[in-house]
Amino acid sequence: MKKGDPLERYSRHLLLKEIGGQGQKLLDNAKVLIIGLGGLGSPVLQYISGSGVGEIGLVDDDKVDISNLHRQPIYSMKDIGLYKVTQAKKFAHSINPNININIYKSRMTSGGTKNIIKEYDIIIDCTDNHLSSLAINDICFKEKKPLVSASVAGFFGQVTTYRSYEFNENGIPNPSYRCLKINKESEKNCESLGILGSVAGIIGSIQATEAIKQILGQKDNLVGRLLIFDGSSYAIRLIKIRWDPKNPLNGSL
Amino acid sequence: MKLIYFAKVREILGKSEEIIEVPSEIKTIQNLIDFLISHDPSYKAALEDKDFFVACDEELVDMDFIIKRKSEIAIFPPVTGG
Repeated sequence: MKKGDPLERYSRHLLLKEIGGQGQKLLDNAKVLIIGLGGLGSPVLQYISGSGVGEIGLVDDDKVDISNLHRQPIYSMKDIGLYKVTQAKKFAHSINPNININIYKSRMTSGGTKNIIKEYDIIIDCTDNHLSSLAINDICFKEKKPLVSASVAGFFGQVTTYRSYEFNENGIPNPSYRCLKINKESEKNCESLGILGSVAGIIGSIQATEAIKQILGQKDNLVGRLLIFDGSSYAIRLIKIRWDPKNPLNGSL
Repeated sequence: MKLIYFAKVREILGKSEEIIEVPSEIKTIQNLIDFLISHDPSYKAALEDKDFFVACDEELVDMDFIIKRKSEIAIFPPVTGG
């Protein structure tokens, strides 16, 4: 059942020259997969569902815990102990009942991941661990899916987009998560380091912006550039990242 | 040379940026890191675990990258939280 006149609902999008009627149609036709429904996944889902993306997949095997609420504003006290995917779906439909939402109660490192990713156009990595990010990265390379990836800890966060299956204007492959050469030992997550909720909100909001720009086909995006932000100093930089010829996924050496 | 520090490195050093004079024999990022570590114990605490990225003039670089005197060097950690 369609609720609300889409011309009214998306009127502020339709005013933007970057979106307009054509862009709104692109959003409506898009299929976006959000993996991880924590501090990053919450703002991502809020803006992606509000923006009118027609089909959204949600992946998480976790239940809502009271320690989540300071940074995961899509949940409330009544959700504690319930599965995040079901509660997140309810939240998204409370904003926008016109969109389709599919839920997957699983972890990304488990089997079957590839078949889920295959079904979507854009993948958003909001997971909280290195192994999941590696697995998602490798599948997105093989399945040729744009991957909007972010991570946070403390007051700090980073965002980038991997289109690792494509080449830059010089014929060099675009970088992937593998090219950052992160070790298992570098694992730093919110459970061990803490996280300021609003910083996850800022980084997740940038991730949502980037996913929408990917759907709209905007060229001025984060492919090959890592945006880093420190909420303590307010320093922000766009760091160029390059394909590593020695990387185990698509290196040549 | 301008140095900017993010997250844990900023926290340990207690500053987010500084401008330093580096001796002429400092050629690479590795030389610079070694110089900083020998310079002051707080740099040793911030940098000795080698668990950080270095960007020179907003480009991610390896430890053998040759730096320029006017470069901006950013040091930031890998993070995986979500």
